[in-house]
This record gives sequence, structure tokens and C-alpha cells, in this order.
Amino acid sequence: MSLVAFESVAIGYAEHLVQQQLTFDIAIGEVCCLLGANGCGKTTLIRSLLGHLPLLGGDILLQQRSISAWSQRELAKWLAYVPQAHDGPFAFSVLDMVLMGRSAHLSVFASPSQQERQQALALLEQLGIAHLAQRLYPSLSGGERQLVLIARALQQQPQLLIMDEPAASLDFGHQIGLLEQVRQLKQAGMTVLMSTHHPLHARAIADRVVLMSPQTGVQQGTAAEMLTGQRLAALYKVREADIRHHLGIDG
Amino acid sequence: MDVTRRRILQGLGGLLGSSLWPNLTMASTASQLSMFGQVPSAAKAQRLISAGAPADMLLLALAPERLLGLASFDLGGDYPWLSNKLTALPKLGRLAGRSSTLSLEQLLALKPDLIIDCGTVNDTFRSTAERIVAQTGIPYLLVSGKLADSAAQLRQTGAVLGADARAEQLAQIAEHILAEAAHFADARGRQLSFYAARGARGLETGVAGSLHTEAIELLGLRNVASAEHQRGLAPVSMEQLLLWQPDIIITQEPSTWQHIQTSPQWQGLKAVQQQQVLLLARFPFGWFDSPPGINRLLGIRRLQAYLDPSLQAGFKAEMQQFFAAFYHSELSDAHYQQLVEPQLVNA
Amino acid sequence: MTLRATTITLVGLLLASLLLAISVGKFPLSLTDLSQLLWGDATSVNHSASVVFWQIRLPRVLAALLIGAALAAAGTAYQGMFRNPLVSPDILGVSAGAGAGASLAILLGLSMAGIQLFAFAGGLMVVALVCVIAQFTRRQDPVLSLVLIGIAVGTLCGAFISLIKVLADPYTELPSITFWLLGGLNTITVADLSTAAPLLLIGILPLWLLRWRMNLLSLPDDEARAMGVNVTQLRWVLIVAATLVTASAVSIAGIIGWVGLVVPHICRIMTGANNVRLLPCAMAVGAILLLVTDTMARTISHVELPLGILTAMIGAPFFLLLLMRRERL
Repeated sequence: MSLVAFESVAIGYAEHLVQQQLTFDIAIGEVCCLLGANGCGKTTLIRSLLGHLPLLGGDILLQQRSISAWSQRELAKWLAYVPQAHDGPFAFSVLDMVLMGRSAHLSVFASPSQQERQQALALLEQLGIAHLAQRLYPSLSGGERQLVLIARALQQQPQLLIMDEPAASLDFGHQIGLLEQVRQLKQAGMTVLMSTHHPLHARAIADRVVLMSPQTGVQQGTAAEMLTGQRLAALYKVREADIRHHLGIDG
Repeated sequence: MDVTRRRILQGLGGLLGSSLWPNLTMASTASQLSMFGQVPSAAKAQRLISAGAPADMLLLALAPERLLGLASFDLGGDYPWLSNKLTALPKLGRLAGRSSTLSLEQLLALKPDLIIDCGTVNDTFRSTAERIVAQTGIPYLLVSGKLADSAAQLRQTGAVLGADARAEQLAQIAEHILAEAAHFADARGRQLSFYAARGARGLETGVAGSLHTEAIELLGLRNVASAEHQRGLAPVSMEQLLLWQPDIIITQEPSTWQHIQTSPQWQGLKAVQQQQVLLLARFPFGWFDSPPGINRLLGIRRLQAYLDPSLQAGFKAEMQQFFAAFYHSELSDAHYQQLVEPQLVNA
Repeated sequence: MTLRATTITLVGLLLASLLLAISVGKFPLSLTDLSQLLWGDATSVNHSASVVFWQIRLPRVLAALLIGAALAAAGTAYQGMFRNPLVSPDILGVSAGAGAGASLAILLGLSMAGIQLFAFAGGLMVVALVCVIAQFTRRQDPVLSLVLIGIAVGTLCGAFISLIKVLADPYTELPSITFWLLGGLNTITVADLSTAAPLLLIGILPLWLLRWRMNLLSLPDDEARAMGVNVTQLRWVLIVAATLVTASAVSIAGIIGWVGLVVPHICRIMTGANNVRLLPCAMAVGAILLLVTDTMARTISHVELPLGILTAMIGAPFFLLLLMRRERL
């Protein structure tokens, strides 16, 4: 059963259409990876799904209901967003940072309760970073920050976790650790939409792969169907032989 | 502008504990004039420019018919007690370095023979004068001195302008007022203390030795606000005022006077309880400053007349004489009433 | 320092500075007088001591307490929501607008009530103008455009103030304008306090209640939105509240710089960035700073030292010291 359905969606900014005729589903409990060259609209698609950009056409359905009909607050209980790790101007502690994820569940004037603090600590434990709880977020490494942002998203108790190139600034070891976390989340029943630059990451964890390209539009299928040398060569505009050579993918 | 800057410097000096502004109150007969450029002969000094408000006062008295305009006053319209000769003068703007409002081009277009400035003489004002002379070729006369030196200022400037007879007459009035004030100071003045209230709440004041209270202090009255290293304006607190307990409170602003009368805070001052709050509203020239020119001579006399009942009956005639001599205007009885009336609001 | 130790230290310092401010002054009030006035038989104290205490010193001390806390709270809110530690409560031009209003009122020779009203209205009008202009720059980052428009409109007000200074009588109005712009509590009356205090409290209340949610505005807008926060609405509420606070403070005390800029910084070092702890801490430190500087302003010399000068002279070196001793910004 699909959690999110894109129906002939056109995305972009008022004066600049990025992609149109996007049609694909994300089923409950699966990991869906978005692949595409720079500028193909992965981030635009994520912003549109989160309701930050108005659609230029078509509709996105969450639970069979158009996302334009969801309030920001309700949406945040279903969808959680994991941005790329960044520097904030202010030094919040890791625990404070994770607790911010509760805002959709709290009334306007409330602040997180003791119970919610325990929840946050449990999440940090689950992600293997409980020892960082009192550290300041800006003092962490990129990989640690990414895990904190995942913990914050999980604190929202969402149905769908949306990750925008979470591995972009991580070293090799942390990339593997991150993929392992995503795999464990999936086992725990979480649905994940993840954009990535690495076909290998998609191959490692994706149940479904969506290829986005300005020329061919959107193609979706299983990882095995989509991650062929031919398709990737077209997607990234390189020679098929080079793709094979680099990734060791069969024809 | 210059006043503000000087006050900030004074404040800094005070904070640093230095004594950069010695208090000079001795009257002198030394030269009050500093000349820059080729000062014209008396006959040729026909077109005069005043550089600021104190010079306006000096030249209105000495040679109004040769003034091309005033630096700080627009006397048109609202001043029926001044003669047409004065009220017809246009306001041209002041010459004061960076804070000038009269442009040098406009100055040249007016084709003046001489620029006259009056007030503080220090390197800032000297270099300003030198620059204007260098740029325009118009000679510049700086007249310095305290209020106590008014007679010398009048005589010496009068000599440059060839108006010796008029200058002598004015100088004698000035000398008379100052001598009477000195006499009063010895007889009674020094027993009295005063506070000069300014600002909407009356909590700004001229510090002892500042030009803002110079006229009052010439009568011997002791300024309660004395700060060792400060000579300008300063904010004060109500608590401090309650400790000072001045004998008289003097203000030139109706709104300040009104506040003092009605505010509960002020009722703790014995001067307020005893109705010794004196309002001397400024029309159009201040009695004690605004501007700090020879107009203050009349302020000295007026305050003395207030403090010494034996002078009160004669004050109207003296003021009319002063108007005739210094402002070349006939002050009618009705106008006299209008100008001095605020003094009695207190009763 | 632990949270508990910080709290105890701050409350102790606040009480100490409050006691200091109440008991020290030009007019000698003994501790016996004070306790009689506060708790005992007021008739046993002479009349002028009672006037000094109730009409002059107490309103002034309460004003310092309230205004210090209010400016620090507004500064904390503005820095948080504009994600910039260099922002002060007058970033949107409220002080510049209030200064322009007050200068105009002084030039027109209005009474103190008129000057206060002009200052208050001027501050609010300028911020409203900034916000209206910001509606026409929707293509830009909303925070950046607000700040830039605030700077531009503030500069316009500065030019207007300068123009008024040129027009003002250099011997009477100009010094009054200068004193007003330097700020000070020497003119505070019971009436001022009873007008401004409710406005200050009304403004502080939303800042206090929304202080946890304020944290989320430190994040990029998209992230906060994805967590269900109505970023635009929250920011407007905080801007309105912080502006009301600043305009009320400025209208009775003139422009008191540095408190709103430096205090949140100092407190972020003490308690971290979380506004749940930061805001109360900043309010306490702001109150302490203003209580101490105002006590100095009124006791050091016979005449008063302008408060704005003192807060800068104490705030700036203290701030520099903290910067040098701190490992990371």
C-alpha cells in the first residue's frame, strides 16, 4: 500500500519549471532512493513534498489526501526531514537539538517534558551516540551531526523519513555507518525517502529506485532494474563502459 | 553642534581627572579681537556678515544697518516689539566649520566686506577663520571674551567699524549693569544659591562656570551644580537636587516651569514650596543664554530687579532704554508687559 | 557551572544589586530609614526621606530592573530569530525611530509626556514600515531582507535626527536631544513607570512563554517548518513583542545601548543557547547590569553621567574579556 503517491507532479519555482510529469509511489515500509545528476530536481522534489514549495501541477497524496490539505503541524507528525549536516550560529547541546523534533507534538507555549527527554536519550542510545548527549552540536564531526539530525527527525515519530543526501559530507566509514542505520530503521518498520549521489548507496539499501533526469523524466523500479550501466550512463551523461569500470555493474 | 562637541570633550576631561578648562572670570581690558586677512578700514566695512548667534547680538547693537542678514534668527513676523529695521533682516545661516549652514558660495555671492564672529576663541575657531579667509579672501574678525568683558568687546569692535560713539554709549550701559551686579554680589548675591532648570523635566542644568549660567553667576549667586572638571550642561538626579536645596530655581522654558509646579517629586524642594521658581521665557533672545551674547546683560539686570525690590519700579524704564540702545526699537508699555509677564506666573 | 549553581549565583547577585541600588544614593537614607519605610512605621521617617524613597529612588531602581531585563530579553529574541549574534534589539530601527520622534518633539518644545509619546510612536512606526517594505521583497531570504531594510530605514532616521540637530537651537534644544539620545533614568517618575511597566510586561510575556519554540527559529526556516513550526507567524509574534518591549523602554529611558547586544552573549556562555535557560538568565544579567550602572551614574559625580556611555564603557571591555578567554565562539 502506498504511503505517498506522486501524480503527474510538476515542480519548480514560479519562473522556472524544474521537472514535470513525475509519477511514482512510495510504499509503506520500503526504502526509496532518488538518483539524478546535479540540478535534476531532487532537492526541489523534497521541498515540494514537505510543503515548502507550491506544486506547479499535479498532486502529491499522503494517505490518499492531497498534501495541500494537510496543515504544517499535522504534516510534521507524518513526514520528518533530515537535512545535510550544517553549522548553526548558536551552540545548542545535542539533547536540546534532538528535543526540537517534538515541536509538532507540543502545544505552542509548552517545552519538552521529562518523559520526552528520556525518549530523546533512548533514541541517541539506539543510534549509538548516547555519550554525545551533553556535547555542543557545532563541536561534533560531520558524521556525528548527521546522526543527531536523524535522531531529531525520529523524535518527530514520523511515518516517512526524508533524507537529503545524508552521506554527502561523510567519510567512507561514516557513510557505511549511516547506511547501516537506515537499514535498521527499515527493519523497525520506517519508510525512508533518500536522495543520494551514490548509486552504490542505493544498491545497498533501496527497495525502490527513482531516477530523475530532465531528458527522460522519471523512471522507477527495483534497484536491480534501475541501476544498470545503460541507465546510469544516460542519467549522468557518461559512457557506459566508464560506469561499468567504476562500479563493477553488469550490463 | 560645537557646544555638544565641547561638552563631550569636557565630560571626558572630567572623567580623566584633568583640569583642561580653567575658569577665568576676571574682566580684562586686553584686546578682545583676533583679525584674519586684511581687515578693511572703517569706511569700507559696509557689508557685514555675522558668523553666529552671539555675533548677531553684537552687530544688531552696533551696526544693524550694515548687516546683510542674521546667522541664527529669523525675526520676521512674530516679534512686534522689534523695529522693522531688524525684523526685515533675512536669516542667512551660520559659519562654524563643519556645522556651517551658510555655504561659502552663497557667502561670496553676498559680497561682504567683513565677517565677524563672537564667542570662544581657540585653535578650532582660529583655524576655521583662517581657512575661510584663505578660500574666499574675505577678512574675518574674531571677538572673544566673557560676558564680563562686554564693554571692551563693544568698544573694540565699534572702533573697527568706525561706530565709536554708539559703541561708547552701549559700553557704558554694559559697564553700569556689570558694576551694579558686582555691587549686588557683594551686598547680597553671594548668600543665595540657584539651580538653572532645563529640559522637559528640569533635570538638565548648566554647570557652574558654563556660559549657560554665567549671567546669573555675575550677580554673585552660587550655582548648586558645580562639577570640578565640567563646564557645560549635565543631567542631574532629583535626589541630588533635594540635597542641594537651592534658594531659587530659574528656568527659561514654560514647559519646564509647568513641570516643576505640578510634579510631586519637585514639591520636596523648599524653593518650590516657597514659590521661588522663576520663569524667564525667551522672546526671542534668551535672558541667560540662547544665545550667549550681550543680550544677557538685560537678563542680569532683570534678575537683579527681581531679587532687589528697590529696583523693580525702575526696571521698565531701564528695559525700554536697553531696547532703544541695543535693539534700536521702541518698547511700548504693552509689549513690556508681554515680555516680563511670565515672571509673575508663579504668584 | 551547573544550572543550579548559575541560578543561585544570579538570584544572589540580582538581590545584592537591588539592595545596593535601593540603599545607595546622593540623599542619605540609613538602613533604619529604609526598613521603617518598607516595613515599619512610615510616620517615624521624615517627610523628605519618604519622598526621596517612594517618588525618586524606588521608581528609578524598578525602572532600571525592568528596562535592563526587557532590553536583554528583546535582544535574546532578536538574536535567536535572526540567527545572528551581532543583532541588537534596535536592528529593525526601533531606537532610531524613537530617537527621531523624541528629537522632533524636543524641537517642537513638547512636554515630557509628548516626547515619550513621540518616541514610542516613532519606534513602532519605523518597525512597521520596515515590515511593510519587507512584504515587497518576498524573493529574498526574509531574515536577511528584514535586517537590510532595518539598516536602511534606520539610516534614514539617523539622517532625520541629524537634520533636526542642525535646525535645533544649539544652546537649548540641541543639548536636550543629545542627552535624550545618550539615555538615562534621571527623569523617571512614578507616572512613567506605571505607564511603561504594563507595556513592558505585556511584551515580555510572549517572549517568556514562547522561549522554547524560539529555539526552532535559530534553524534554517525549511527545517523548522518541517518540524511543524509556523515560522512566519512565530517570527511576527516575536518581532511585535520584542518591538513593544524596546519601544516602551526607549520611550522612558532614551537609547541605552549594549545591554541588548552584549547580555545575551554573556549568558550564552553561561547557560548555552537553549532559550529556556538563556532568556531568564539574560533578563537577570540585564537587570543586574542596568541596576549597577545606573547606581554608578547617579553616585559617581554631583552631576549625572549619561547611562548610555556607562553601559558601553562597562559592557564593551567585559565583552572583550569574555571573547578573549573563550575557546570557541
